[in-house]
Parts: sequence; structure tokens; C-alpha cells
Amino acid sequence: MYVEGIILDCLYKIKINRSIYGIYHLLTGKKSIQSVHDARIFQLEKYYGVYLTLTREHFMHIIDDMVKDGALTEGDDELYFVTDAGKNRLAVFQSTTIYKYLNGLSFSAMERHFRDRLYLLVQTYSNILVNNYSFIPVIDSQEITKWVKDFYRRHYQSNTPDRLYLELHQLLSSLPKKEADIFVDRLSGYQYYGLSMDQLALKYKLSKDDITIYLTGITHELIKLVGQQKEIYPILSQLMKGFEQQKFITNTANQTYQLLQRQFSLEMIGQIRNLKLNTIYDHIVEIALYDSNFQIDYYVTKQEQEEIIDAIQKNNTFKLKTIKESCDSSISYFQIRLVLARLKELMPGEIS
Amino acid sequence: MTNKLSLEEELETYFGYSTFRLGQKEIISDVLNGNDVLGILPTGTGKSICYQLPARMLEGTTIVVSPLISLMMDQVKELKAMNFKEVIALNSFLDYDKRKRIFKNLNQYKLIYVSPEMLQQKELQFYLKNISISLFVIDEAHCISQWGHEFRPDYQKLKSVINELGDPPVLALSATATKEVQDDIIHSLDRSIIRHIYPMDRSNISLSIQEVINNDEKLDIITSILSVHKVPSLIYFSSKNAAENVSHLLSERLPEHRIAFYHGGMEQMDRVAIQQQFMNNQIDIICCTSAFGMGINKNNIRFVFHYHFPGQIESYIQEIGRAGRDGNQSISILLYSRQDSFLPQKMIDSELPSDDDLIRVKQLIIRYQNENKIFPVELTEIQAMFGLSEVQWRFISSQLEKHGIKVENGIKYDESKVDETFQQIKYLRDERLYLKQSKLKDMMNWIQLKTCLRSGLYTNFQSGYTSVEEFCCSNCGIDLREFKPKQTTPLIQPSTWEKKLRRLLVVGDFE
Repeated sequence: MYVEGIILDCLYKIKINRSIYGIYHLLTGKKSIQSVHDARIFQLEKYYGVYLTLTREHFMHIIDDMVKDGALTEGDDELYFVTDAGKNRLAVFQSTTIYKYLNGLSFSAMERHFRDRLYLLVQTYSNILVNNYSFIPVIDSQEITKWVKDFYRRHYQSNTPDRLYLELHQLLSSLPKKEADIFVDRLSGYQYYGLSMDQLALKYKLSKDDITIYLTGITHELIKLVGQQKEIYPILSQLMKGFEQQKFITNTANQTYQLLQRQFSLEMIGQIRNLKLNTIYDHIVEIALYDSNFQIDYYVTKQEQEEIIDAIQKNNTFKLKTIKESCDSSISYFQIRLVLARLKELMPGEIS
Repeated sequence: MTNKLSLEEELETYFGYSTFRLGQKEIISDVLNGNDVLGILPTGTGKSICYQLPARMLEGTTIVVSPLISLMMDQVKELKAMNFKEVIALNSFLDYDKRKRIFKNLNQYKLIYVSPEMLQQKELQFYLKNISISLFVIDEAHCISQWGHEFRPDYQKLKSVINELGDPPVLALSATATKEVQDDIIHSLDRSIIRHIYPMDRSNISLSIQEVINNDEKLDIITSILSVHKVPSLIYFSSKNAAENVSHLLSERLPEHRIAFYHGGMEQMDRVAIQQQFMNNQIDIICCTSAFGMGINKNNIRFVFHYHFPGQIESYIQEIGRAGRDGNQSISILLYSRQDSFLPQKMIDSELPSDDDLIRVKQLIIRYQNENKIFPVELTEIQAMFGLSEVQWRFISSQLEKHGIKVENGIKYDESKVDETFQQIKYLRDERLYLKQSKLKDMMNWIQLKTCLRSGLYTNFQSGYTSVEEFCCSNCGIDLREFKPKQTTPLIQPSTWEKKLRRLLVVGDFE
């Protein structure tokens, strides 16, 4: 139900502006400017990267099933439309807590680390508590292992497990019982191993897709709660360390950004970095998305911005090609993309 | 006498066992004396101790060649958990920088696991030559032999690698090697090797075969047996899907039992979870593929079912060998329906390239040579390009290499030899196919046997076997009503999440 709800919501908001694969890229958190951009302009930020392990094949399978169930109808060119039955399903999904919790654009990169660090931390302290220093770790990643070791070096005090317990208890008490049950059932400790995803799905009568989204949603909520009150979660707030600066900017765009701040022109930056101008344009759009203080007026005048917005409204579309054709030929794709990046400020409340 | 005492003390110190199991001590003593040894020990008798203990005791480094990366990783994890930290598994997943760093510091490891492919790298050989190697171990040594059930061409190059590394003492180990394969191993290594061969028949495992009409009947039989016995059990399947499906069906039929499935397609964390739940008595029954079991040290498995039978007797012996490691009576039950025989055949077909596959690969290679194109670097991309499975591609590429055709970094070959090379590959393919089919036939013949199954199972491996009075085999007659294994008592799980969390993190709170 959850994964279907998410896809229905995406199709409903994107309409026919993007191919079905745009949604796939969004859910799997493709690190492309297009996917981040789509999440922003269609207000689907919460779904960015919520199902990283989804395969393309399985994604199409879910869509086909929804067509069979009558939640979707299929048009030409792999276009899909949400039916009334689909809208009802969407409404059910939107009434769940998981829907409210999901916050992919902010948390998807941190989520996996947050959970893996927590799983290994709980398992480690549970074993240390009974003086058992050798066990098979549930998380098999050098990066996570190193993090937990470093943490232990700083927190060897004997009351650490107790403090960890109190923090987790406090945190999980803010969730409905079933959600806390599921989250705790996944935890491992001394001579005890938590349930696998398949076992969780079976126990709570959810599909494997849904248990994945369910855990992701809960984790996003936990990250939010911890982040809001770091002072009462001195241990758990450390799980987020290294990710506070999470911004959707690639390294290469960031380098361009640094040069830009030193007042180089875009052409100069291209020369210095030995990159094509179009690549630099991509970076500028990325920067516009990421830094709300970045002024786009220098690249697209207020007048041009209005013309582009007119074209968007007149054609009721976000398709770049349609917008371009509807504007004066002097307006470039680069300028249209910049306006789209800032659409929320330029056209408040008008995106449906 | 002092020597004897100290060896057991060393075992106790490093591994916490007070006594050796059959054969371990004899093999280890010979190894420590610098002899070359071939050790054939039945599954589940602790083959790995035979090199892990010497690795801890000897100066210098022990190298272990092992065919399966996952197996190496499991071993390293277990050793680290036992506080043996100077171990590492070298595999191609390590990124360049890290690998370089590790290569330069190889001497800090006491035990190095490495895949046979990786060992072919000149760079690794260069660094290995600079450290002192006290023992060279060949695990699953039957892979050397063309007549073995898991022939790996890179194993045949081990002899020259051993020479390159200055001829350290060699220990070759296997759980399943016929006399023929043993000779082949020794011949291929070309050394004077002391043989330590231990019988592989396990008198505490009774052998039962039941012919059924269809899969429903298999499920009925498993259900009715397990409803009487709540004991740790494995059920083997030839496909991931079947393992999952039957696991669900059985859970419905046996709601009091704790059942899970396991296969190689699962996420790492879930695989560890299921394995360890089984070890910790949190679950009783695992529906699994052959991916499960290696490196599993649960000693009280009472039933091993085969919902699908494997394509060769060697695999079967290995899989039932996971039962009864504590020495107590255990039972293996193979469920066989006539339709099943096509399954191993299908598996064989997927392991070797077909005629069409060979033609396709040949044409692509010629085209790439003519157009001066370069093959992708990633193994998975090459496989996808040729439309082959990993096993199929490994087979072809090792043969190409043998005939001087290098695929990496642009193709180089002598055009006049291509036809001949592919003809050779085809011959070899046919040979392998024939071998595998004859192994399948052996397996099927054994299944159809009317006389004692125990006597039939081990004939190719050893001269005799320990005869068993009761619970021998289904042809000699087993009365399952007389089988009274100790039942597992399920651990009581806390009821609320608060209590579960307390159990994990608050001392003395186990309910």
C-alpha cells in the first residue's frame, strides 16, 4: 500500500510532464540534478531516495499491478493516469503516519548510516554489557565498524548502555506502538539477532515493499525528532554526525561554486576547469537549487523570468521543450531551468 | 610427550577446545614439522583448525587459497570474533588505494585468505615474495582436479605459484575427494605429499529416500515429520523461489515452529540475521539453497531434508554432513519425484556454454579485434555483453587465456589460431558436460538403489564404512517412531518493545 501510494502521488502530481522513469529515478534517489529538480518543482521532496533498492523491473511490476487493479490506466507512450479508485487509494495512504514521516530529500542520504550505526551500536553495547567482546556483527561495513569503535573509545563508561536505553526509550515512546514494535524487532544484541526484512514483513503482514518504506518512514521521523532536540539525545544525535551538512550539491558543482564566489565568469570557470560551458550551466542550476541566497537575476533578467513563467502557465507544463518553443528564441534552456529551479519563490502556491 | 601436551594447550588457548577431533592432530603435527600434507576430513570435523592453529603457532604468514569469497569473509569474521585479528581476505572488491596499502603491509598478517584468481596477479605475487610464508594451504583442494565436482581451472596454476613463492610447505584439504581426485591433486602439485585420509561416512546420520508423486506430497511428509519433532532442521532446495515459497507454506502449516528461508539473493544483514538466529536457537527450520551451511557450526541439526536433490553425490554428502555434528543420531531424508530429474540437468546446462554461446563469443571477439575495440573492464558487463552466466564466462575466459587470447585491455591473438582454440574449448566443454552428466547419473542411480544406501553412497570414496545396526537407511529399514531426539524449547520472547529493549541494554533483564 505504501509504495503504491507513493507512486500514485508522484503520477498525480507530475501528470504527463515526465516519463514514468523520472519517478523511478526519484524513488531510488538518483544523484542527478534532474531528479532533485523534479522533486522540488513537483513538490515530491519527501519521496526522494525512499526506496534505494527498488529495481526497475520490480517498479514496472508494481505499476502493471496497479493497472490491473484499476488504480491506473495506461495511455500511449508509457503514460499513466490515476483513476478515481487510484485517488481513493492515494487518500488512504495520505492518512497514514508513514506518509507524514517521509522526508527523503533531507534524510535519504543519512538514513542508512543512521540505522546501520544504531544497529551496530546497540549490538555492541548489549554484548559489552555482559562482558562479551566477541560476536558476529550484523553490520558488515568497515566504515560503520570504525565509527562504532571510535564511539566506544569516547564512551567506555559502564553506564553508556543504560543511557542508550533511556534515550531510545524516550525516542520510541513518541511513536505509535506498532511502529516502535517493528523498529525494535529489527535490533540485535547479546545472543539475540533481530528479524530479517522478510521475517518482519511476515510478522506484520506487510509486503516486502511496504516494510521497506515503513522502516524508512519511521527512521526519517526518528532522525527529525532527534535533530529537533539534540540536547536530550546526546548519544543518538551523534548517529547523525557527518551528515548535518547534507546538501544536494555534487563535488564538481561545489568547485564551480567556489570559483564563482571568486568572481570568475562562467566561461572562465569552464576554461580553468577544462569543462564545457554546458556542464558549468548544469552546476549553476544545481547551485540555484541548493543555495536559496544565490541570485539568478544575473543570468536571467526579471523580464525574461516573467516571459518563462507566462509560458509555463499558458501551456500548463514543466516540459522544457514546450516552454522553450513558447518563448522568444533568445531565451535559452539554461535560463528556463534556472527559473524552474526557483519556481516556488517565483510562483508561490501555483504549483499543483 | 611434552609436545603432545603443548599442542592441546595451544588449541585450548587459541580456540577454546580441549581436545582435537579425528585427524586434526595428526595433520597439524605433520604440518608443523614442515611436511607437505593432503588431508581428507569429512565435513563438519573442523578442517579449518588444521591450518588456523598452525597459522597462530608458526612464525611468518599462512596463505589459504579458497574458492568462495563469501566463505573467506565468513571465516575472517569468525576468527576476528575469536580475537584472531591478524587475518585478512584479499579479494577484488577492495578498491585500488586500499589494496595497495594492504599489499605493502602483508607481513603484518598471520593468515591471508586469497582467491585463486587473485593469486595469479603478478603484483600480488611480487609483494607475497617479500614476506616470509610458512605454510601454503589449498582449501577445497578437489577443485584442482578435472574429475572433481567443482573443477576450477585457476587451481591448476597453483603449482607454479607455489614455486614462485619459494616452495613453502603445502597443506591441501578437502572433504570430498575420491581416490581418483586425490591422485590428481598430488599429481598436479607434483610434490611428495603425506596422505591423511579419514573415512567420510557418518554412522550417526541415517539415510532415507522417499519417492513421492509430486511436490504436495513432499510438503505433507515434511509437515508430518516436523509436527512430531521440534528440532533444528534444514531443508535444501535447488531454487531461491522454491525455498521462499515452501518456507511460507510450512509456516502456515506448522504455526508453532519457527521457520525462515535463506539464499544468496538476500541482503547481507538479513543473511547474518538468519544464520545467527539459527545458531542462537531463535529459529528451528531453515529452507535454503546450497548457499547455506558453509561456515555454519551448529552441532545439533537433527534433520536434513532434500526437497530437491543435488546434481552430484559429493554435494549431497556435504549437505547431509551438516547434521549431527554432536555425534547424536540424526536423519537425512531425500524426497524424490520423477519430475525432479530435469532440475539438476537444467543446472548443468546453465553452468557450461552452449554451442550457440561459443559461436556468439567467437564472433564478438573477432569483431572487436577487427574494429580495434576494447572490452568492458567490469566482469558483469562482459557477462552481459556475451549473455553468459558468471560460471559460463569463467569457463570460457580461462580457456581463452590458456590459448593465449587475452581479453582485457584490448584483444590480442593470433588470428589463425581462433578456430582451433574454439574447437578445443568445445571439446573441453563436452568433456565437462559428460563428466557432470555422469555424476548426475551416479546420483540418480544411488537414489534408485534397492540395497543398502550407506554401502552405495561411499563406495567411490573409500574402501569400507562403519556398519550401522539401527537407523542405517530406508532400504535396511528405519522406524522413525523410534527416533526420539531432544526437542528444542523455544526461548520466551519479551512481549512488548519496551521489554525487548530492556533485554538488549539493561543487565539482568532477560525475563
